Amino acid sequence: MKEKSLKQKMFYVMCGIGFIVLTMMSLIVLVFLWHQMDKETRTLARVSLSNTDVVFQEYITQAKNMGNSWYGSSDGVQSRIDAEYKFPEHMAFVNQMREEISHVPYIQSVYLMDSGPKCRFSVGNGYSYTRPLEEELMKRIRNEEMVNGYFIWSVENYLTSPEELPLMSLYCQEVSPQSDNYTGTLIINLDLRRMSRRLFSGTLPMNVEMYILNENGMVMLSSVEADCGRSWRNEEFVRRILEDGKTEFSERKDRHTYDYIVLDSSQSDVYLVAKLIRPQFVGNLGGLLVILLFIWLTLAFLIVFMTFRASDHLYRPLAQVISEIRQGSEETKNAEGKDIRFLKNAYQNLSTYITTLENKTEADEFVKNLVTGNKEGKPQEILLKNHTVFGGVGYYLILVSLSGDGDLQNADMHMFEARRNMVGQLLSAGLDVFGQCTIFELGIRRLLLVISETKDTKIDEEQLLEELNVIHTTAEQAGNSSIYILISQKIPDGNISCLLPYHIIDDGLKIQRFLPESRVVQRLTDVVMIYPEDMEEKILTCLKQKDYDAYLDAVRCFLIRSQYCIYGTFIFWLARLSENIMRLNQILSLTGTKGKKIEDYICDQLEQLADYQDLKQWFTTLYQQVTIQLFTVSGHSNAAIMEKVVDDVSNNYSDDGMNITSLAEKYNISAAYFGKLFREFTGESLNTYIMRTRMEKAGDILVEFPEKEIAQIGQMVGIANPSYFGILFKKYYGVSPSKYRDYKKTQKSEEK
Amino acid sequence: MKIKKKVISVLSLSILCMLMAVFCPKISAVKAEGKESAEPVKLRFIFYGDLTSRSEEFFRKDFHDIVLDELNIDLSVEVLPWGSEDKLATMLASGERLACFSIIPGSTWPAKGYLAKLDEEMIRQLCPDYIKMRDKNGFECAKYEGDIYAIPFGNKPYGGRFQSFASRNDIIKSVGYNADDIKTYDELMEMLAAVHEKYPDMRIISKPVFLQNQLAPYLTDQVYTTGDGPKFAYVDSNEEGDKVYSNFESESFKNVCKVAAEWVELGYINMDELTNPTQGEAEWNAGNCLLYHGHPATNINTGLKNAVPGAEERRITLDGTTKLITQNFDWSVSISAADADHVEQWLTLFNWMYKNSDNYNLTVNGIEGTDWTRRDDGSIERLNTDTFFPGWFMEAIEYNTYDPSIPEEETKAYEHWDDDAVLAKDLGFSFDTSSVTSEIALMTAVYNEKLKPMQLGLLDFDENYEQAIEELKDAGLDKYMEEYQRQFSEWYAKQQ
Repeated sequence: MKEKSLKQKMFYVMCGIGFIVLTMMSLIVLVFLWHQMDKETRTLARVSLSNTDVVFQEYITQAKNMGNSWYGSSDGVQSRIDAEYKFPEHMAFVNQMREEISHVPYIQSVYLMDSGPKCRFSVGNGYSYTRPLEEELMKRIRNEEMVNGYFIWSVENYLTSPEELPLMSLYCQEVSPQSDNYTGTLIINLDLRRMSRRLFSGTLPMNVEMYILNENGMVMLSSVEADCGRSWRNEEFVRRILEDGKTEFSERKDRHTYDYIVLDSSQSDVYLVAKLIRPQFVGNLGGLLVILLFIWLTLAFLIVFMTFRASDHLYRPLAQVISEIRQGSEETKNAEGKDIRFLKNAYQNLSTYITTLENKTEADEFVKNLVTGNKEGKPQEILLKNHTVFGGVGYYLILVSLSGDGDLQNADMHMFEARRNMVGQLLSAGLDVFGQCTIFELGIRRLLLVISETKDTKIDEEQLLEELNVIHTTAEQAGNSSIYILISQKIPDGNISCLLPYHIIDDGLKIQRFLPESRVVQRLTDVVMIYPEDMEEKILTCLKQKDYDAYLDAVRCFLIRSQYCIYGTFIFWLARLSENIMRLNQILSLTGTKGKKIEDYICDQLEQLADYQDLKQWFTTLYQQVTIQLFTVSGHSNAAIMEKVVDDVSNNYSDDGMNITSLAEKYNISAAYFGKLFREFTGESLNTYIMRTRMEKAGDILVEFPEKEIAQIGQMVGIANPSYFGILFKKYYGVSPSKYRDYKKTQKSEEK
Repeated sequence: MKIKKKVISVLSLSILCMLMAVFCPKISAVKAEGKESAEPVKLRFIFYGDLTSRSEEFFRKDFHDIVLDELNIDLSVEVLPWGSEDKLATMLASGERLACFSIIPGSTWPAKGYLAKLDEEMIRQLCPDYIKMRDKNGFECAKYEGDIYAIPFGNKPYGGRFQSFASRNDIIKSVGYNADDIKTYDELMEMLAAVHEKYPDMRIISKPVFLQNQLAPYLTDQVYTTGDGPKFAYVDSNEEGDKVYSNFESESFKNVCKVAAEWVELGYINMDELTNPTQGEAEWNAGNCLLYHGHPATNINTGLKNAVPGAEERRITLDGTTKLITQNFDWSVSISAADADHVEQWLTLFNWMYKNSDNYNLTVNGIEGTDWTRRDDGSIERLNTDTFFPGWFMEAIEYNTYDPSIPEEETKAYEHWDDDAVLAKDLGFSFDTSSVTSEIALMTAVYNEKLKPMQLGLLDFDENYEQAIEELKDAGLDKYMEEYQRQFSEWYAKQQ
């Protein structure tokens, strides 16, 4: 199956949700409209009932009034009372009654009874016909105690035989027939069907029926003509109206729902009932809606479920990425379950890291080019680009180097790094006030600080130096080790290359290590120094006088006096001094020159010295050689020791404590001299030799044991810190250990 | 993939349905609007009689819709009880737009300007099918002073109307007689006595107001007929000349009053003939009456048999009865003056009713399947007893179908009924009452209060007759007779 695009998936999901929302809204609107319609229908039915009640009353009143007027008229009285009365002799009265009822089609007939009671005559209106009713009427009248009243009954209808004709008989009489003073009754028979037709015809919608019921549950009038005159006393809804007095209720019957609205007529004991008929499916609309709702909820649930599945599908790769990042992150615990926050943090860290990396890359580029002198313009370009320096204003370079004495004697890389950073912080904190301050790391021990004036600030050189001295003192005291600080002369414009000043101070740094004490030194570009011949003379004098302390003092003064020249000159001067010392006692031939000129040899020797202590040792040795004609170095016995040392290194490279000091102690030779001897014997320094041995071993193990981890291999060759091991390895082989292993692996498979 | 397609198709279908539901009512509304460009003409027709719920429904829905569809006429039909002429007159006088039953001869309506005048040429143009049915009878009966004011309906035998009895021969047979054999008054009385004895609860006669015609050979030598209303003047069709007689002073009237009184005494005439005159007819229709007034179709009438199982309707005509044709239509229909601008539509409607047998059947018998079915022989069998436009009113011989149970000789006899009938001398004469309107009103009151009760035997003749005639004369009988004589002589002279 073809993979759907994210857009398509979102489209389906939105379609689904939109469809559900639309449908739900439609349902709500439908229910609302249906409810409104129902409400309106009920209101309409109520109004209709009220109107019907008014008209019904009017009909009844009209009939009663007619009856009363006939009953009370002189003809009416005479016809009832006069025993000799014959109605054909009073046709005017009869014709008048006929004429009057002819306009009221629902009056079926009028019967006039005398006190017998016996029927005097009856008048019909020609609309509906029954058998003669007088006997039945007389029977019924005898039981009526009221003066005015009605009863509902049914008689056979001739016209549409055998249908029953429901009649409502209104009667009026002066007194009850049981009374002795009874004078006759006038009865008006109302044709209930015809009255219903007149009352309801054409006014009611198909689904509405109306009834007028009396207190006995008899249907007086009905919009369904056939129901007129029926007794509904036992009908459930009639019972609820008559007994429970309900005015509005519903009933379900025969697949229909009937809503009843009842109006208490203003006539006593008469009820007007509107029956709204709804087919069952409409009646069950509530149930139907519930079913529809259920179906749609199910669908909605399904679609939401599918949406979850889809989103899961969509976000699975992302979730995987997040979990991968988490695995490598320390924040795993903190940001559990909060992917977005976690991602945000991770992103911020990442971006900071990238920025740092970028800066670092640039710094590295700067440092590389600065140190090597390649691409002359590049370092300056980087400084300007990063706003380390600015065109038009001056800046200084400050070179800081940590000495390996004091607390840092035998210190590992991390300690140097920590100390270096501490010094860096001290410097930037102290110098920030002077101008734009940027620190570059030149190595584990060295820092380069570029402090630039800005357009607003000028650097007061004296104050700067003063501050540097303060920082120097503080840093040395805090670290309990020597720190060399060299500051360049002010470079007047940011556009002027920093290469030359850097090399001058770097040159100066080389000299500084030979000085008896560290301090802040400013190196100027154009210092012309004269060889301190007076000091040489004093040294030689001291030598001749065999005054060792004065000799050392003089050497110290010589060093201090010579410190501002360039390194080459410095070394040369030292060599010259050394040579002149040596010449005092013709010891040059003893030391051996290996074919070199004597000055060059001495220079080489001097350059091998590490610091002031070495130099002091050098001059002490010279002193001793000159003064007491010290021993000649026996190449043979020393060579035997060095062979042992080489074996020692090859066997114990995994011992991380192995260094020049430990070995010198082991063979009871001073470290400086031990180093010198080793170099003479092997042609390289002991440190370099140890490192080379370790690296070669590491390279072999990497290839031989591909399952071993890098850190493990580092430990195996005596470098416990994996990062340091990585750095050393890269320095030696030019590639990282893992790449070296991959490269060798590929090489092997290619060979095969 | 298939499921997805299904889902999409179901979705589109639902959307389509919603759109249909929203737009379709509008489309159908547009269609409906387009169809009927002209507004339907509203017409209102009123006739006498009574409506059942079915006949009301028929006029309100079935007939109304068909007429609306075919003629673009929005017709409403109303029914007034028999004898509602006064009410109708009021409606006409108040300018209501309608068409109604009318009898032009003797009517005051044309003179009062209630009715629209009809153009004969227009009738001939718009009503070719009606004219074909009307044929030779023409429009004389619908004219007032030479102008046509009504459309006469019906084309059938009219001789001897109200001059015979229709009887329940099944009852008569059950007491040992036969209607066909009763030819004298004595034979009649003998039979009535036998029936009354056996069926004391049965009404003997309905509408005894026609006794004057039915017993004519026994009452007088003159030949004339009366209706169920007051007839003040008559001419003797048995004699030459233009002499006009006063009915209530005639031997015939005096004799019938005495006979009727005798019948009342015998219990043959009911009191309700005065108070509820149509009750008797209802009882006849319900099978509880022995005699009714006869007419040419009595012997072929199956209506009663359908309503009262076993009933056999048979004519009793006394020997010596002259079969008189007093009219050549049943009722005519007039259009109110206020509705004169719709004469064209009315004539179109009347013609449409007679256009073919389908339309005629619809008008008279209702909807096929609901109200009637056709028998194998093509005759019509009614499924209910509801009346629409009354058959007697509409009847046109050419559209008649007969119940197969009726012997062919009877149907033939019916169709040739008028062959031996005598035309009334005053057939086609229309009395202009305008000059004696108030006299007629006063005389009618006297008739209703005195003469009619006497005519029905319910008011003592000897005690009241002289006074009644006196009252009649006081009311203007002489003036009336004079005017009638004058007009008739004039008309009669013209006929000669």
